[in-house]
Amino acid sequence: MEVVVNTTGDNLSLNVRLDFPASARFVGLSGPSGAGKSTLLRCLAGLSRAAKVNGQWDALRIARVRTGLVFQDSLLFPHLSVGQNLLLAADFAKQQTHHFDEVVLGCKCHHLMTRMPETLSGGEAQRVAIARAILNSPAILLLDEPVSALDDSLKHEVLKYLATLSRGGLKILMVSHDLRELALYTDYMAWMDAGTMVHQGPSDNVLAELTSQLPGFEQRFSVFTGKLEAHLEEQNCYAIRCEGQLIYGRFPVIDGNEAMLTIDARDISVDREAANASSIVNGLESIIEGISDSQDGQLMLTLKTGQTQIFALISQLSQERLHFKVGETVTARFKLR
Amino acid sequence: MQSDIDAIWLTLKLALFTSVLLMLIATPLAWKLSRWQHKAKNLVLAVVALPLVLPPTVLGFYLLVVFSPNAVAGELWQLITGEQLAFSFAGLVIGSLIYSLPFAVQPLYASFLQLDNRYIDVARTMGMSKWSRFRRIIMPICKPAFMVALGLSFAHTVGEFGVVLMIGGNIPGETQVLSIALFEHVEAMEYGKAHALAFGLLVFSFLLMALLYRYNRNGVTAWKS
Repeated sequence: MEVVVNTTGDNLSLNVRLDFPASARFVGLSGPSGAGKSTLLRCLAGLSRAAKVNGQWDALRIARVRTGLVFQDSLLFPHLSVGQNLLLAADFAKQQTHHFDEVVLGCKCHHLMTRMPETLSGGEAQRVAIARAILNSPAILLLDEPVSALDDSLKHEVLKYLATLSRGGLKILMVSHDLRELALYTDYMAWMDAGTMVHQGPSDNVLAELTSQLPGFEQRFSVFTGKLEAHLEEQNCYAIRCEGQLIYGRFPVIDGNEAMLTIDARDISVDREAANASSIVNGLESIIEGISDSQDGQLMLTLKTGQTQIFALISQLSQERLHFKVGETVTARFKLR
Repeated sequence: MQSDIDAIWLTLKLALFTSVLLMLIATPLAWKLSRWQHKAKNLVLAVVALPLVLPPTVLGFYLLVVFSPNAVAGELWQLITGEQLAFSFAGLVIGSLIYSLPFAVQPLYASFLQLDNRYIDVARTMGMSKWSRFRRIIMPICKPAFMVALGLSFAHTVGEFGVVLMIGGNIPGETQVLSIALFEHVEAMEYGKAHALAFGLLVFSFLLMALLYRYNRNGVTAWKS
């Protein structure tokens, strides 16, 4: 995939080259507000007359193919019910590539069909908007923060469904501010700022680069991957074997046998006690590899267990009390969520 | 009495012709204006709104001049149809179109301005043609404005007096509309007959406005002028 977009707007000129292997299916796009992400999506959707869009994504000429666009606001047609909105989109599809009921179920809007858009909550409307875009059978689906209004469990349900569609051949480019979301679901990722691409490549690489470059600690998080051991239905969580140790999570991304979990650095605490007398379920024995300088009264500890790198944000106050040292063995703890 | 009934029919016919034709003219005009960014836009808006403030006799006078067989437009019309434009029903329709134009354009213009362009963007990405977008998205969303535009231009044409008097005169069955028939009754001191027509017009206008306001509660009637 190689797409070049050039446009000059009122306050932003976009000069972007997206460069991914043809195999890229689910691509994430992030960057600070005003970087031009939404503008880029509009250009790719063919909505900007001034924009020059050239290139192709896996043999599809971007400027020629049907591209679906889901805006941040759901923009359901207000005079039509949910069902009518979806049927209209299906009517104008070139061919029916998806089964109507499956899409409706996948986007969790089966119980909303007779409702009018004005009666929907933000999250419901966003799900309907995603379903509408899919039912129009686009070759490429562009999503602008599509799950920002959804609560955690629904967010992951919808993202999982999108991931399934992307494995089925639909090409997806999704804008999100939530790097964790992108780490979990996308295979390739781009980071843009001020109308240009700063990083792009496999999601893991881009995230690693971003993590080392982001000035603040706010966005740092750890990624735990491992073998899915069990689905504990009663406890409403999954057990994952990561680096030989068991961890538990509510919303891991599951791909066959593999499961993946992301945890914010501020949600991880560091404990010298190995014995589990804590109410916090997860504890991974790990070694301190690095301790950052204090920033706004906080320090970042970099821990390692096996191949997994863990980031833990602790307060300067804790460090003054506990004096963690590089090379020390500790337990990284985080709540089940 | 028969002439009054003729006048009522003629008025309704004129109002119907005018308001339906106006929808066809005002819709694309209002759409273009609402999407147009140009310095000259205010000038065009002013021209469209002119009949709101212009004395009808001024408009009627200039139309009469243009309609005259000595003028290009009047001559052309006579060449094509073989009839004179002034003092004819066709002349009345043309006059009414101009006279009621702002009443059709303003509600549509206001409604098109409010319409979120991104609905149209969504429709475009869905592969809907221009006509489908208009018929299935724009028209239903702006339906209240269309009803108001239709109702106001109809009512306004029914109440026309000055322009008709100037360009149509007072030919029973051809150009004698209600308000002119009413005026004639008053001139002839037939107050009873005048009252019947006047009261009828009053009730009709009131009912139509009440209906429009009832139908359209979200304020499209409060247009900017």
